[in-house]
Amino acid sequence: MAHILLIEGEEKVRGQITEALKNSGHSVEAVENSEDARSSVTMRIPALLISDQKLGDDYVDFLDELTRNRKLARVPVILMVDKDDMSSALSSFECDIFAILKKPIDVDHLHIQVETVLRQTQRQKQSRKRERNELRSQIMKLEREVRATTEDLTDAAQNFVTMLARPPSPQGIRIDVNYQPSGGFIGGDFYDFFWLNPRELCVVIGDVSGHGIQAAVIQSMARKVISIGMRTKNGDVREGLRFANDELAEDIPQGKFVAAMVGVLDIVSGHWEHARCGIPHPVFQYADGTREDVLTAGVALGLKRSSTWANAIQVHRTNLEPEGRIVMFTDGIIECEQDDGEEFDYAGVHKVLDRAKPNDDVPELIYQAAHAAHRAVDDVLIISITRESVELEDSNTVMGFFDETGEEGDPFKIG
Amino acid sequence: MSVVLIADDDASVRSELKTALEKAGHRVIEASTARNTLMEAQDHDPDLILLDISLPDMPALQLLEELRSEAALARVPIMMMAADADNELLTRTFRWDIVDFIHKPLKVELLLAKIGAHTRLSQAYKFSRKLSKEMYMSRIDRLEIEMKANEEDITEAERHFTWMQPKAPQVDGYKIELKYRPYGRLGGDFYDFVWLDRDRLAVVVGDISGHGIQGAILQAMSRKLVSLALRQEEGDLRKTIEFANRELTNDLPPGSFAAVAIGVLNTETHSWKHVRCGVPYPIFVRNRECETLVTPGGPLGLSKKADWHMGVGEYGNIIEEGQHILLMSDGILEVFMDEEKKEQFDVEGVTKAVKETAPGDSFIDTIVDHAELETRADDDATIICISRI
Repeated sequence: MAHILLIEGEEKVRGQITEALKNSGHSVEAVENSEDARSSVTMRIPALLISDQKLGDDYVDFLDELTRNRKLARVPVILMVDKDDMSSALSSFECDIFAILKKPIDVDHLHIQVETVLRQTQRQKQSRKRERNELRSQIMKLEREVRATTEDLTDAAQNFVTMLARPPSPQGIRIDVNYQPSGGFIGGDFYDFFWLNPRELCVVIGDVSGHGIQAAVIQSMARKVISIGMRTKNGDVREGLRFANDELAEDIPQGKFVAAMVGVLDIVSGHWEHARCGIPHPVFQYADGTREDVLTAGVALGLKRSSTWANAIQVHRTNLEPEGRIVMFTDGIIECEQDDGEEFDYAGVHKVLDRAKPNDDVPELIYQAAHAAHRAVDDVLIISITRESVELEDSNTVMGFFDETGEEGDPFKIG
Repeated sequence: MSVVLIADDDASVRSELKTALEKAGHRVIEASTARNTLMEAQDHDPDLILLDISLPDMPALQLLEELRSEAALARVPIMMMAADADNELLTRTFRWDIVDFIHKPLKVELLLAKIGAHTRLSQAYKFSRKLSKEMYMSRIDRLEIEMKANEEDITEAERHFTWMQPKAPQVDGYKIELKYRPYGRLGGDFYDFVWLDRDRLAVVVGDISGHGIQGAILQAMSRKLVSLALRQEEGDLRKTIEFANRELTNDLPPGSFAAVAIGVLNTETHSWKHVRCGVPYPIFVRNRECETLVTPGGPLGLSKKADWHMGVGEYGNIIEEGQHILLMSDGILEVFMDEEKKEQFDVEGVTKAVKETAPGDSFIDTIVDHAELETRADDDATIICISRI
């Protein structure tokens, strides 16, 4: 059963056709002219329009309106013409008419033509519906799969953040961290802070080759191994790294490696020592504003277990004076491509440091200057350690930090 | 330009129509048989088919049905052509699935007008379908790009993850077998074999709360941590779990934990001792009889109490020839054996499988078969069997 709109000027013919169509089970709205037809289609869209040809100029406009209206454009039209007016009928075919019926109307022929049109329309509808359903189900399947992975990644990302150590804030020392995994979830860069004893803070920054899930899996292991290595070797950076290299070389897949830097800061005296293995060298900034890129030798961890591996590591020792600053980072930030096609590089870091004030969050300034939010294609990790201009000669002041948090004397406690 | 397929075995009719239609701006495809018509229609997706009612190789109705059975052709308008059609044929043919009936000899002018109307309708339909399909396809394309990125990331991780899983060691006088089946592509279960010295082999089975990507991240760290702890503490099991628990309580996200069983086998004296923290009780097998080794112990990473490890029970025994120790994660015991998810495989399933293992066969293979692990498991599953030969 379909809803049919009939436009016929002659009342008698209108009645006959309406009756014939109703007898076939269709619902029929019969109108006298195109104006009534206009208001009818706004109320209900017909499945078929049967119309007399002799409705004047306004009728042609009405047909034009039909074809222009998105909702009505696909309504098929059957035109009724006078038997002796075939030339006019021929021109009517120019108006996307589905079929022509000659008057007087043969009821059998009317039925056949109506059923044919409705069948064709139905077939097209079904074909569209089938195609649409197939595409929709394909979209739903893909959405489900993407959602499952995204949820898995989101879960992992939430835990990933909580697993990275919170930077400690011992009196007189300011530590700022900016870490953005590429892809926004989890990454292969890592950092760590832990106390070797109440005065010595160990700082680790690392970068597993590659990024994404596999790098995140390896970094969790690398971070733990370096942490245990440094603690069991009593803060000896070379021996701590040797221990980590021996462990990682056994465990991580061939070709993968872990670039890392480990530093130990005596928060009372400001004594600092570090070793760098495969990661960009750090930049020191002194109280007078001058800078120094501290270049030392050292190969990435995990490539080969060798008794001589650690011999190549150079340890840098210095004193971090009040208002002095150490800036460490992985390669993600210096490799950020800038407007001129060049990498952000050390020149970019230097520029930021030259403008930075003592209380600035330097990692954030560097991140912004490199436009890393849009430009970075790798994990970005930047850490700065600034010694504030506070004299800390009394070790009790330092111990006060531990007293406050109730964690005094636990050398393994992560800050 | 619309495409019209003319199917008629009369070459002169085809030629007359072709000339007229091409002049009117249509592209024409010709077919002289029904088989040919089907093939050409599939190849060219016509806007209209002009079909002679009496093609030599197939009744017209059958050809119509075959055309309509093709999803892509189901909506193509078809005009039937016939000579000497009486009213009965006309009525019958219209009942078929066609849009018009054309009498031969052809009145070309009228025919062209009708063809013009139908091809325009057909093209309008095709255009609207194309727009709608493009809209869907652009969403599909975007999702596929996203899927591909995830897929590459997970595949790469899976490759490394698989590589990183330890191999069962070869030990004189012993046979060590294992089954490790992550639920999904990455898992939170872990296991390890660590030589403490020339004679002592430590065996670890662990299970991180949760699975998937975060399970994989935590298990890699936990496995390494337990291995380091075992070596640092030279195989002292209580000290090992104290070490591992202290580290994990700092490292694991709130609410996460690591269940673990750690055993040390002395391959010289054949002594075995283990601690079990949160994973299922290990099972001792002698003469195919299973004994569940019940000792107290909760998972690592939850308690910060300094004496937490003192509450963990330690089991010790000598493994005689023909005896076995089974260590496992809960993934295997918690396999549901019925569709209503009421009955689990459990220790009873393991006991039955052990009893029914044929001489010379592997307990693990039988257990995995009985539990229908490959199809039923909905968690990571790990099982290790240490057999003294």
